[in-house]
Formats: sequence, C-alpha cells, structure tokens
Amino acid sequence: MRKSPVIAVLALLMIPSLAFAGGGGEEPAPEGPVTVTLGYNAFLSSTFTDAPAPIDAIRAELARQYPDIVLEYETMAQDLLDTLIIWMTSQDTTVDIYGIDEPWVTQFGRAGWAVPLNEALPGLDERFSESGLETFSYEGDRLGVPFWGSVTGLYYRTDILDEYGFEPPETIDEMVQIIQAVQAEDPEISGFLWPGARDEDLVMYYSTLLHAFGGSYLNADGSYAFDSEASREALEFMRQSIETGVSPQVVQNWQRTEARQRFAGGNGIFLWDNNDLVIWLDDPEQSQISGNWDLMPFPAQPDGEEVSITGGFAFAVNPFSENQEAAMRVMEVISSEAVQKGFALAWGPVQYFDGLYEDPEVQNFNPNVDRLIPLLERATNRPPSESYAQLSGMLQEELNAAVTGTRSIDSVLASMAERAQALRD
Amino acid sequence: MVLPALLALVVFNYYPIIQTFIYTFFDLDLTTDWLNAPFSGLDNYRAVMGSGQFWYTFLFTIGFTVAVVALDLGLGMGLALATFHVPQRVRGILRAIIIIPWAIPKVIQASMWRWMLNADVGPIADLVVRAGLAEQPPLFLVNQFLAMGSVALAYTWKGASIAAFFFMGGLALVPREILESAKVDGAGPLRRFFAITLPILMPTVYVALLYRTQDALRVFDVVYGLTGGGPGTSTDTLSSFAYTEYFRYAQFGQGSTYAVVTFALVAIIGVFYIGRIRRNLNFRE
Repeated sequence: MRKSPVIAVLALLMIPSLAFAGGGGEEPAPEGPVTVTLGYNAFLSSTFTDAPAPIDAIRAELARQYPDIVLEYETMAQDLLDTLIIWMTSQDTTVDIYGIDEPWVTQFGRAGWAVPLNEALPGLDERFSESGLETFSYEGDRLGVPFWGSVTGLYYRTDILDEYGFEPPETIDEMVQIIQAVQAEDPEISGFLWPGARDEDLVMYYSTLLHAFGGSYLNADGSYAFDSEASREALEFMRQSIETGVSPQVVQNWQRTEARQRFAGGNGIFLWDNNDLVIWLDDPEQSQISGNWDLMPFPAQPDGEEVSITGGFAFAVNPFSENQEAAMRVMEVISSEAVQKGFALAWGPVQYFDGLYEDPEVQNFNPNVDRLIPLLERATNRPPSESYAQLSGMLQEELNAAVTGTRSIDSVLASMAERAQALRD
Repeated sequence: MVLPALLALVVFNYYPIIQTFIYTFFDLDLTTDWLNAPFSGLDNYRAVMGSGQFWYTFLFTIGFTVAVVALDLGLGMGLALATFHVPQRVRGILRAIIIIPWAIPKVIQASMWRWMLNADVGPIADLVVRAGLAEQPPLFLVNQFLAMGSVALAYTWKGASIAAFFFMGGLALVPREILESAKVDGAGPLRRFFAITLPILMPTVYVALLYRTQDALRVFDVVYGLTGGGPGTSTDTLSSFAYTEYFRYAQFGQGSTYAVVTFALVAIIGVFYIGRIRRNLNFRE
C-alpha cells in the first residue's frame, strides 16, 4: 500500500511519453518561436545613462526585425573566460552567442571556438570601421560583431595647466617638466597616474610607452623586440617616474580603478587610461573635476609614435550551437545601427559603427565624443601573438617585477625577450 | 545502502582525479582533437620539473604553509581557550567574533584585506604611520617580503577562526573535574594546559593540523584576490599555476600536470599525517 502513491506518480509522468509513443512517423519540425541564448555578464542589463539597457535595445530591434526569435539572456560571471573555456572544450550549447574580449581572439580563433561571420553577415565590412572588425578577426575570418570598444589616451587637468601657464605636453619629457613645476608649488598633488599592478592594463600601458619611445613589438625579422632600447627606456621611465615622485609609490600595486579614483577625486595632473571616463567625468556626483579635464593622445618622445591601445568586446557565435541560423539573425540585429546606437546611448563610446557619432541623439548623450577622434586615428592593437593569453600573462609578470623593483630592468628585458620567443617557437 | 553514495563519490571525486592524471600524459591545448590527442609521455612532467619558476613557487607554497599553519593553530588555540576563560556574558560575543571570519567567503576576504592593506586609504597603513613605526605608509602589497607576510596575515585571519572551531569542540570534552583537581593540587594554568588539556586535545589538534595543512597547500583565492601573485611572481602558489595554465592559457596537459603535482604533494603529506594520527586515535570497531 505504501508504494501506491509512487507508482501513481510514475504513471502520471509516463502519460506524455505514451501519448507520443504511437506516432511512428518523422517528428514534425518545431513550430513557433525559436529561442536564442546570449551569454554575457550582468552589464548587458545595466545602463550608465537614462537610455534603456543594451539588452532591451537588442530585444526591441529583434522583435521588430525577427519576431519569431526569442532572445534569452544568460547572465554570466563578471569574468567570462573560465566558463567559456569549460563550455567550449565540452562543446556545450548553453549559449548560442557569447561575449568575447579582445585578448582572447587569437586563442578562440585557433581553437575554432567562434563561427566565422564573413559569409553569414557579408555587410559587416560596409557598416563597421576596419580597425574595429580587425580587432576581432583571426586569419581573415571576422569572428565578432563589436559592441563596445576602448582606446587609451592621456587625461589632464585643464585648470591646473591653465593656472601654471602650461600647454598640454607634446612629449613625455614635457609632461614630466610640467609635473615637477606644479609639484614644486604643491608637493601634495599626484603627478602622473597609471595602473602598475600585475594586470592586462599594465601590458597596455607598456605598449603605449614602447611606441612613445620609438619602439615596436617586432623586429624586422619578425622576432619580438621586447629587449630593444625603446623597451628599456619604457621600463626605466616606469621605474623613474615612481622613484622621482612624478608618480606616487602606490601605482605599483594599482589597478585601473584606483588610478581613476584618484584622478576623478581631484588629486592628479595626468592619467593614462582608456575612454571609459569620458561619460562620467563631468558628472559632479562622481567626479571632483567636472569641466576641468581634457583627453589627448599619449605624447611621444621626438623619435617616438603616439598610439592609442585598443580594447573591447564583441559578440561571437558558438560553433556548437544548435541554433546557428537564428543566432546569425540575432548577430545581424546586433550589428544594426539601432542596436549599436543603443549601446552608445547606454554605455557611451566606443562603437565602431560608421557614422554613429554624427547622429544628433548620440552626440547629445556623448558630448565628449569629439575628444576621441584623435585617439581613434592612432588606434593600435596589443602585441601580436598566436597565444596572446600566454604572452600577456608573461608580460604582466615581468613588467610588474620591473615596476616594483623585484628584479632589475636588465633581467626583465632579457627574460621578456626569451620567454616571448619561446612562445613563438 | 552505501552504493548510491559510493557511486556519487566515484563519479564526482575519483573520476575527475583519474581523468586529470591521464591528461598529464597528453599534449592537450585548445587546438587539440581530444580523441586523437598526441601522447607526450612524461614531457609535461619534465617541463614542470625543469621550470625554475615552478621550484620557486613550490618552495614558497611550502614555506607559506608552514608559517600559516603554525599561526592558525597557535592563534586558534588561544581564541578557543579564551572562550572558556572569559565571563559568561562575554563568551557569546567572543564566539560570534570568532565565527565572522569563517563566514566570510574567501574572495570577499581577499578584497577586504586588499583595502585594509591599501597604502592610500587602508587603516593598517594609517595605524603604522600614526604609531610612528614608519614615516610613509608601508607598501604592503608592493614590497616582496611585505606582500608575502600580508598574504599570510590575510589567510591566517580566517584560518585561525577555523582552527578555533576545532579546538572549542575539543576543549568542551576535557573533563572539568580533572582540571579542578589539578588546580586544587596546586598546578598552575600552564601546567594544567600542557599536562592535562593538550594531551586530551591531541586528536583534535592532529585533525586540525591535517585540515589546515591541506588547505594551505592548495591556497588560491586569497592570493589571487590580494596580490594576483605579485609583485612579479613572488606570491604565486602551486594552485595558481594550475589555474592559469588551465583557465587562462587553455594548456590542459600542462595545467593538469601542475594540478597532479599539487595533489601528490597534498596526498603525501596527508598520508604521513594520517599515519601519525592513527597511533593517537581510538577508532570505534
């Protein structure tokens, strides 16, 4: 008697199976809406302005263009990479579309973890800037539709430079001279702020300096030039800026956020950073320097090159997705002007969609967008590598050792060159 | 009755261990066709053992473990004893204070200590300057040795709380009448502790020692969140190697090898400890 409820439940569970068991013929094609799942961190449902969150912009445009596709949003952890590696190696189909960060592109491209978009979305090249698409390409395959990007530059305090009678610096030496002159009058103020912690930002900052001192990533024979004279000057500048007080000691352990906080708090003359700040640096609730800042390309020495290092995210299609056709339609929607504009309104620049910043509504939401044009003209990618994650990890270790003085600059330069070459071999 | 539990143990515990061990003999990365992965013999082990950075990290992990386990057990014992010697009305508060570090997730613990040790706004640096111990706020996470000490301090903050838990349970089993008799016979507090309490507590001490040692050898979250392995590679640990190779570089063969080496180290020490403990424990037949 005690088993009877269990049997009854089992029988109930079997009813649907029994109902379909007698069909015998081919299963009918599923009808009704197709569900596509997009995986990204919680930011996609966040907005930094009064505009709707990007996920709402995507859904609205999708409903207009493809009402038979339903978009599910899988909220992933802030750091997507761990999960994506597990999913891709196990050929998981949890998400059909996922966010891909610039440093992962070669890794994912080599592994075939992103579907090439060239044939499915042939209009991409006409709508997006070449540099934006190239960032998310591997061996000629367009692997991602960019939706948010970044370029680095030098923020500076216009009020301080005006007060002391300086123009914005044209070289690194000039920047140092300005800092020393201001600090002679105001020793408490921080001069030049940058992130020195063992992190990807340090690689980007080094890349900026390497070019500024006249160097490049590669030698003429294709080998890495991390032990070049320019590389030495870049590392020496990092160390000396700390030792001479041009930069505060604490930058050695700073991530980008900490450098930003000090600059936005009003205690800094110059800040190396990307364009993230332009959308909120004039907001008095978040910034003490509203109306007293500007952004320019990071200055180079006379024989160097001004560069703005790129970053950013794109959406890619999971090669193991069982809904690739529908996923491509969603990607088409994401690459539309309406959705790209939605990202610009909610998150601010940079989007790589051509002509987006001529839109009056976008200009109204992003009054500082003109400041980015000189930076975008100097956009440069990070060091090239088939194994960028390893190259970057190695550079982070070595550069942080140089910045903190844990090892000598000579030792770091030799080690960077040797380890980079070992990765290439 | 035990079959489902045994099955779950095999599927969720032993299968991944065996699979990871098998991976160490293959050249597996993100481009590998896993069904036709090239067999690489002991190449991964040779690469790991031939790496100077591995041996530095190995020594750091061992040194870190010795230091933090000693601190965990010493402070944990002190905290546990205190809960038995404070007035009744304070006891609950003290136990609540002890439980707080245990209840805080490790990632949050790391972030909290990162702020506490911040040279700009952290209270510890401020206290050091106010106490006249330094003119400038110390750069706890920049100086190589201070960073190592900071990681140990942050780790011990939670570890001592966990050890105190063990010891509070063990101390509750020490018969009060024996301690009272010893006191009447004139034994002082230290004598009572070393002659009566500690011998009775030894099985608990061994278990706590084993648990804290294994945890320290596998340390990852606190280091990752506090120093990221820096400055340079000064505070990298064996687990961070396995994590980086596996989840950052997608070098599955190499990452598995680091994981297996770490596992072997923990297992050897575990077996050694358990061998010692068995002599001091009376298991129910």
